[in-house]
Amino acid sequence: MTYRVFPFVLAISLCLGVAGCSDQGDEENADNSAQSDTQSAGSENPPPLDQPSGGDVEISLVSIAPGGGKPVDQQSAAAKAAKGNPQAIEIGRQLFTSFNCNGCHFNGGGGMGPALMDDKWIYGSSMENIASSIREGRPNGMPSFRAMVEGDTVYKLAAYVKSLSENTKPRSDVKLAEPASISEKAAAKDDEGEIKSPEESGR
Amino acid sequence: MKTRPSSRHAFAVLVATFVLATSPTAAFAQATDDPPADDAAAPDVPADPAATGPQPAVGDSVKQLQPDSAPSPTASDETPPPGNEKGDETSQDDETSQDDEISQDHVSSSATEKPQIPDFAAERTDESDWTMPGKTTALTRFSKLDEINDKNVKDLKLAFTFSLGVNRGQESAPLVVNDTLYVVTAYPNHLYALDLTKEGAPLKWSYTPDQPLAAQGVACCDVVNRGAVYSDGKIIYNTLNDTTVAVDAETGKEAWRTKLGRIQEGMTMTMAPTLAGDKVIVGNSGGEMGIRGWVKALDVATGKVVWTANSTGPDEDVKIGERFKPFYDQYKGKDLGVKSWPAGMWKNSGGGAWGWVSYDPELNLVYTGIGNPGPWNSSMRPGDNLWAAGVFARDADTGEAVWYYQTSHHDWNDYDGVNEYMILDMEWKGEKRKVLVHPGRTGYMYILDRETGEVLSAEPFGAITTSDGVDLKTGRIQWVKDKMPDDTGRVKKDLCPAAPGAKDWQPSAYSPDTGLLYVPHQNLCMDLKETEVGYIAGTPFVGAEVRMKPGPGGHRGEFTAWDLTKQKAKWTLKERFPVWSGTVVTAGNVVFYGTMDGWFKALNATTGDELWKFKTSSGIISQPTTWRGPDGHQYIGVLDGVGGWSGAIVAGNLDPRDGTAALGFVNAMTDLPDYTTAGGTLYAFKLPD
Ligand code: HEC
Repeated sequence: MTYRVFPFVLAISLCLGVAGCSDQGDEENADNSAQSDTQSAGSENPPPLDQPSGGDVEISLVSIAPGGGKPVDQQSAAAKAAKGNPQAIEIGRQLFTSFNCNGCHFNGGGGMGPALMDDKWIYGSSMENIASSIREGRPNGMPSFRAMVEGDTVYKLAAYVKSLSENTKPRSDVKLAEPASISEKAAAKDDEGEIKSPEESGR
Repeated sequence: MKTRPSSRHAFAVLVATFVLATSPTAAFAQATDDPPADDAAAPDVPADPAATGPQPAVGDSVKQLQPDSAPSPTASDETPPPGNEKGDETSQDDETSQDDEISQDHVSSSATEKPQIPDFAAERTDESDWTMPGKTTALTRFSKLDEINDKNVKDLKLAFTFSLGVNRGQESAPLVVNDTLYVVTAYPNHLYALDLTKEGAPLKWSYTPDQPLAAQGVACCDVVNRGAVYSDGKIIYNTLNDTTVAVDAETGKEAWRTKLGRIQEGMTMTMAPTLAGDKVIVGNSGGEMGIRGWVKALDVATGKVVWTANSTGPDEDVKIGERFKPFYDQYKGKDLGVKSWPAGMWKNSGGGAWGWVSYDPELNLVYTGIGNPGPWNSSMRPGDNLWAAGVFARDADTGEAVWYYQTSHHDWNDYDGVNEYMILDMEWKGEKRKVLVHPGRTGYMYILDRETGEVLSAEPFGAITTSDGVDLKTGRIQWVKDKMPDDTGRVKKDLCPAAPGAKDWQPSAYSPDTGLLYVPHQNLCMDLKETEVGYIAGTPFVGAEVRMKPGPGGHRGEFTAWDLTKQKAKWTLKERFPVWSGTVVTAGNVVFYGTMDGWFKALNATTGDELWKFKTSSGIISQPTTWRGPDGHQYIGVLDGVGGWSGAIVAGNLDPRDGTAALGFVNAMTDLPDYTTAGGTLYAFKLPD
């Protein structure tokens, strides 16, 4: 069954990337009517993240640590609960559309944002890494959805994102789409009969 | 300010409340936060391409003449392209008729004069320099230089190269001014100056604007830039994060910069500014992000905004007033930029001005194409959706609208009106007319009267199933109702042309010698399904699932020489991939363009015969230009670096298993990664000494 999730939200300006919301590097611009009030206004801190039900987690972004150490790699109970859980994945799928994630990542193949269905992760493949990408954003233009993902929501999204890279057919199976099959008339660019004659223009 | 919310509403406003519902209705929530104080708005174009895959391919380009009566061979109804390239090549071969084509082709028509480049532009066609992407503000891309010609072009050799240091789609044009070559790259929008007086054209200086990394995330269709313009000792161009910059051409120091919009709203800038006297005209991108489009004029000396004209909204914002005299009745009435939309939707309506602007100094009018309305889901916005998907003629000094014409009312296929409106003078039914020639995304070659906005002609140059011609009495395109999205929500199949149109941004060239317009374009169709979408500032506002595919015949690109007098193709070259590069034509009877699989080609401008080609490292989607160097010899320059919407599969390493990726372009480009990798290099060619 399909039930749909509508974001009712939406009066939101998202912050792009961890660089925060000011378009940094541009402040010195003289001619900019819009900028000044945004600067003075935004000083409150963002609302605190609701604790995931698993409590605090710490997560590294890389698998190497100097001096023989091991990067921290914790997982919250909420992440564990959502991972691979069909219900969580289904809700995540709907949220992925409601939040317009699909506008940038499409159905996992990518566009403005990178592909999520391949096995390459810039910012880590763990549930916590993915949740962190969504919550805090990433520097090259992944918006921070912190203000929109309450409670366990982020893990449902993460569960769906993670599922995109599972059970996909090999790339080599992809065949180029067949050409459109259309009528000869539509295809014939020079078929003068099809076009209204300029005489009718009445000039 | 690193962590602080960007605008006063940012985190403040709430967040998502989800409504779980069973209703199929689209949810559309108008943003309630105040619009930013500046009047930036913004539209844009579609997207990224992408994807890899193996597959059948049409052979190398195959030339195809189009005899007067026969429908083009490309257009066979039946089927798929041969998986085999050779087959196509041989079957379509028309070498035989080639010799006669000129005479045969033209004798019958009543002898009319070839269209002319108007004097204001014609007088600049013999300059050694190339100072703006379109060569002149008429955008004809014709050079009188003829040292390189149809006889000797076969000997063309590489003179120098330069790495752009950026592996994203390079859509810009090398400029040459006073023995210096200037080139702008894709994001981060480096500007390089190369010294042409020295051996190997070494770097003189480089300039990189300060802009946030995050700008990359909101550019619909790769992080491209379409070039710079030279004026008054400055190189002027737009950076991805909505800033116009002017850089001292001699020193590389920033002369001024003017911030015009905010990436937080999904707005970017990718177009090349056009010079109009002492002003530059610029426009925004973001039609896939729910921006509100605008065009602005900036003072070349100071960068101050002289006027701003929005693409939608109340007349006052659009600069519609007493001087507005549109040719057709449907554009007459008050505040149509509000009324032709469901309540309030004009605020996030797209209509970016991300394409070409031409300028006629005699009429003092600028012609600014307007992009697609947003969202793509057209069922959400019943109405004509003015003033998206059309063209305004505006007074260059005041921005006042003088006339408007809409190429795609209630646009439902992403048929932006932003392709070039080239300025020519031609005889039309015995009368001299000042015209604009516009190879439209809709698939029609429009000839408009540039004084009045009347459509003189609109003949198809690509395969079309979405419309049935343009009614010249009303100027309205005749949509094919069956193909339009309806309330069944079903996928609409085989819509041709696809979202990027029969031709996208890639600019044409016109030769007054041959009377032919050289049109690089694509042959793509699509399947379209509308989906629900709500507006969230800074995220895409599209609401459509698209899967593109090759058009009839199976080849995805065409290079067409269009006879403007007869309003039909004289010859067409077929290419495996969309021809996403611009083109340049010269008095040497040679025309140049590049392919996405990395061939830079020279053709005989009269016959279309291939005379020379050079294999570049990466695919080509840039604008070739030509100039005379300090050594007195003619050069041809081009950039490689595949990407853009069509090449996003390679530039963004997208996954071909999702055909909807990059707004559905990936579905038609799954094999591109088998032919090219990302890159970014400038090449300059000349004849051997
Ligand atoms: C405006 C476009 C945009 C939207 C909307 C968007 N993303 Fe992203 N996303 C990006 C970009 C760009 C990146 C790459 C960031 C980088 O490389 O720094 C990215 C990165 C990511 C990553 C990290 C991928 C990796 O390889 O590590 C994940 C996961 C992700 N996005 C998920 C989401 C989800 C879930 C949503 C919706 C809640 C979403 N994105 C919405 C643009 C977007």
